[in-house]
Amino acid sequence: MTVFKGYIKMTKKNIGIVLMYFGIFLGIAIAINATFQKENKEGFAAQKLDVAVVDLDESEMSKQLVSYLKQKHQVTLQKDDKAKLAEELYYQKHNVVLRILEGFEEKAEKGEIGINLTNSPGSYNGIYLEQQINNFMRNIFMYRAAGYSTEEGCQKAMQQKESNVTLEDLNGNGGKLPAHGSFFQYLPYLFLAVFGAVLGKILFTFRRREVKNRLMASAVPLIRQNAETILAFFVIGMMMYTVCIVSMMLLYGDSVRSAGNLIWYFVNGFLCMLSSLEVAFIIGVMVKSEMQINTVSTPVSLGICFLCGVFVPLNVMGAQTKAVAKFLPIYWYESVNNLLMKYEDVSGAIGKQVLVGLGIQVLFVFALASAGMAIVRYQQQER
Amino acid sequence: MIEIKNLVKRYGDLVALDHLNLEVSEGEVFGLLGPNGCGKTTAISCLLALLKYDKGEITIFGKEMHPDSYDMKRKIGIVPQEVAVFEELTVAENIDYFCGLYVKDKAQRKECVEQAIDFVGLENHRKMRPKQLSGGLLRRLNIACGIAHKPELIILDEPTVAVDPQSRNHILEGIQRLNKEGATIIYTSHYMEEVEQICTRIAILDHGRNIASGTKEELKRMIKTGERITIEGVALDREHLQQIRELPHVFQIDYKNQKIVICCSSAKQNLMRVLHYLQENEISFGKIFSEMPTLNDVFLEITGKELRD
Repeated sequence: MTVFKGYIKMTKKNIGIVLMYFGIFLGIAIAINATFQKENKEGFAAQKLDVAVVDLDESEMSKQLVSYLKQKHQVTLQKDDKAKLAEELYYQKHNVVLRILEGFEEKAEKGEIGINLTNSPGSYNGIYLEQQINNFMRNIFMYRAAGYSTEEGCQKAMQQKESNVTLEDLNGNGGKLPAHGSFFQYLPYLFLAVFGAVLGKILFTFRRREVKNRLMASAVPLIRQNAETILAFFVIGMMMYTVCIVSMMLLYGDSVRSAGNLIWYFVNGFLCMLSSLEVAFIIGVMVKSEMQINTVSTPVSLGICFLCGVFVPLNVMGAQTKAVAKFLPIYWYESVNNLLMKYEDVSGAIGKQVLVGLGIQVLFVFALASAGMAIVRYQQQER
Repeated sequence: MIEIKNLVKRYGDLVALDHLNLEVSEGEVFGLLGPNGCGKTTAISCLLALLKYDKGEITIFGKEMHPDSYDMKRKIGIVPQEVAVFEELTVAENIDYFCGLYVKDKAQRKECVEQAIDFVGLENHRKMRPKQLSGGLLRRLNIACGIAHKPELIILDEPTVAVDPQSRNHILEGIQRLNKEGATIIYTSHYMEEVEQICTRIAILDHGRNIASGTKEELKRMIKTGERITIEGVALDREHLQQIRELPHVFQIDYKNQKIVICCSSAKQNLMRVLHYLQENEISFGKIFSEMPTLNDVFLEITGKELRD
């Protein structure tokens, strides 16, 4: 197993490069995931506004409205000093100025809402607040129509709970994409970059004419050398894959524990690892100098990642780009990953789509392996 | 031990080996001498079954050599022309790796590695990486990687190219030691002095052909030149040159920039006769010396060109 041990030993010597890429990968995965989660939270949280209220009516109903708004916002009662309020609005002391006009209660009897809202230009806070006031007033009108007095209607409207929004739960996560999904999304970059830079380089070292001659002149049969090389690639790939899976579990333990389709992620990741190994193998046997390793492997890994939806989601990519990307295994990896992120239950039509994606990746694994072996065979026959 | 018969290797239209014939006996230090591009490395590559050849026969240890003759390969050590080591591994790790291709037993291999390090004098550099070694030390490492498994046949392809004199001597002495310990050596070089110094038999290659082979004495006897007399700082006219040319045993003269080289066939008192002529004709000179023919003279006379051309 001398050839095999040689690969392992030299990979250990290149551990710095592996750690560098792993660090970059983890950084990207964690940062993107954190940003994504934050955006989600902000998008659904109700906003609390600073509302300056000028109550010109000072009726029971206007006081009820102010009480209602106090439940939802930061409300301060102000005198009707238009210049001062405009200045405070300009300096963003308040988000909105609400003027409850004189005769508010009387108008309300007729089903009208006598208010005036002012907010800073380009802001939607006024609309947001107006909708809340309209809802509140509409509820009062409804109660009054049902025979309640204005005072009772106000109290009922104040007590009324807001209706809950029910989202269609497609993936079992309440519409939220699983945290570990983005980790798997960027996994091809790590595999392609690390395998290309490290294994491609090591393979090239073994293929250097002088070293190759020494190996071919040795007592280890060529077929055994090739088998040990393939085994070394596989073992190094599995080690990298295992480290990634363990890291993912440590980082996203909660998300992972609740995931029912994790096994499919693992299968998908495993196939991605195999095809990335083969890309690295082909780079290693094709390049003519050590300098070319980085010159070739970096654009190849980045190019594949950009084209196949690792960095840019597939749903924002053009049809022509996707048509090209379909000829690469990582496209199918990302397609399967996207399905797994959206649907936790992999059965029926979704299950079929996942299996098709995985099946195509298996075909790519065989095709790339055949291509790599054909190149090696051609090079050996050329001598 | 080695027999090469009518070996032909072509690269397209170029004939790299043209019906090459060689025979190497056990215990020899056999030199393959020839200018760059004469086919030395190609011959070695064919010998080791690294290259397919178009025609001919190669037998080593009495058996025909094939790419899968691993039992034979086990007994052969190769030191390629270019340094063939791994940059990522240290001196000791490199030797251990290449030795591991032949020796499976870990304890035995450890002993072999230590002996190889000791043999090439890299005891103080065992933990260094190849990048940290000088050209000479790197060549020594290259040799250690080829000999650590104690092969019966060692093939060294120009092991002293771009090496400082100290390392060169170390390498040449080492090769002689390996031979004394029982190894048969094939040594290729375009440095005739080295080949003369260490080889017991020599084959001179040119354009892929073995143009002459034998011991150095046998090779020198093959040519007309027995002695070469050089006189420097001497002014000679046409008549003097003609008279020198007519001296007994002189068959060629070359006069340029007040320096004359007189080639004589092997005979006694050639130098005395030339000195006598100079004295008689009252011709003054700066320096006079006589040399026995070298392998370069052998090559020059057979091919009409210098080895280093």
